Amino acid sequence: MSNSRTPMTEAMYYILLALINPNHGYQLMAAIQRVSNGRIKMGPGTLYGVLTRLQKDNLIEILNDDGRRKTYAITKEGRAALRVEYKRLQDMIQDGRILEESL
Amino acid sequence: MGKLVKKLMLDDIYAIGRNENWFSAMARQGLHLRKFGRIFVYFEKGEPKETKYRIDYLKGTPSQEQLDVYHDCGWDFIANNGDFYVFSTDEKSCSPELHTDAIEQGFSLSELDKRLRNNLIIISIAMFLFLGMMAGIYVLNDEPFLFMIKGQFVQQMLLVIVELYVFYAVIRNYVVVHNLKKSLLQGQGINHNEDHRKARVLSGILAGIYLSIALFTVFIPFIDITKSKDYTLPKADTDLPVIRLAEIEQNPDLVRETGYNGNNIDWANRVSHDWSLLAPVQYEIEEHGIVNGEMWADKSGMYSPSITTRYYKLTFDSMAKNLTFDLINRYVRRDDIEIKEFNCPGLDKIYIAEDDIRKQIFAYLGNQVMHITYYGKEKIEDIIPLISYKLHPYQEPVARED
Repeated sequence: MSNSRTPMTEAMYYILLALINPNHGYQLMAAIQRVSNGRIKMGPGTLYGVLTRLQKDNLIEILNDDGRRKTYAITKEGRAALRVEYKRLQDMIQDGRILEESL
Repeated sequence: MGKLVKKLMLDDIYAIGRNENWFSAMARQGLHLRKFGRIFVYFEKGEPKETKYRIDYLKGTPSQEQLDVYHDCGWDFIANNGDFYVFSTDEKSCSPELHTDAIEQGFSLSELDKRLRNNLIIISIAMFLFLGMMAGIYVLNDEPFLFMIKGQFVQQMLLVIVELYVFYAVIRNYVVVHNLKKSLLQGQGINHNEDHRKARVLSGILAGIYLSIALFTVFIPFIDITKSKDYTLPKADTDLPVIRLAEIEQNPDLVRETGYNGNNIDWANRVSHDWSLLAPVQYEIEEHGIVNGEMWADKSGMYSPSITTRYYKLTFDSMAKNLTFDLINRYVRRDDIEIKEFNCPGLDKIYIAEDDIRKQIFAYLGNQVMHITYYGKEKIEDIIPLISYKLHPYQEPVARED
């Protein structure tokens, strides 16, 4: 599936970003809130939906599963995808300069 | 724990927004969702409460950790049916939405969408074959009307309706999920307050009709079995729509010639009664006789006339003509014998086919059809008035008073 191709959804982008530091479910939500400076309050349904999909697409992996909680981490592919998206967003910001100049 | 109340599911499980709204409406009446299946939903009686419900499609059983995270966010797991999980939260609590990203939710339905599409393709092929087979039975048949009234035509047609309903449900489910996925991928969230009443009433009516038809289809063969019977033709006069050998032969020396006897029935002199929805009265009556001391004209043996009467009382008058043609086709046409058509007073139409000692008459009047096969030396013209006489009183018993 081409679901993981750019552009990423906001949820996907922030989850990948937050998983640069391996983390598990609940703390992940807090981490996303932190990384997004409190802008994003992700619903638990969305969080697990994205985790399931990213895992299937090999963009993240389970580092550790002690039966009670799973620790997720970004994979090499995940980092690459994140980089592509980051570059795209950067380009978009760059292109947006026109707006600043026009003021 | 409060009393459990059972309700019919009625709506499709795939109608996510409608079901969520229905659960909330029930909670407002003090009925709180506990369990839900394809047919029944169980609610626990309690205090009325404003409750938000969300149905989540989860592939694979969620881990305890996942349910804990949902719980910590304010969403409690209530029940599941297959991959559909229901969570609830207090309407007044400020829990975040379960899904905050419509596009991601759309992705999560991709697999279900694909599965339902494959189902639809397989069932479409099966339906195509099934309908083709059903049509083939009648189109390729030389005597479709005879087959219709003899066979299980009505039952087969009801079966077709039942199959079509199932097919319709499969299509409807696929369309619902596909459209939901599409609108989610366009960033449009699920409408959690979609009106559930109309859909539930409509589904209820459809399901009721479908169930009645299905039950009726099951019962038809039983009626058929109880109504169909064979017995030996009484020697005395009967009320049966039959022409007796004695009426044709007018010979006091004529006696019955018995045939194979099985199940206490003399099969050479028997009445077979049958039933179908399109022909509620069907008789096939055989009678064999012998005249001691008289020979066949060709001296081949003792003169032994016989007669077979087939009688059908149809549900629809309009089938009488076609059934008559089918009977002619089955019992005459293949033998290359000339068929003569008459307009006979008192009958709608009469056809005769004579082949040496075998004489056949086909007649119909209103919704009655009669076919006589007579082996004997009496003239066919003498039998025709008998048919007219038989069909009349049988249709209207009142006419007998004269």
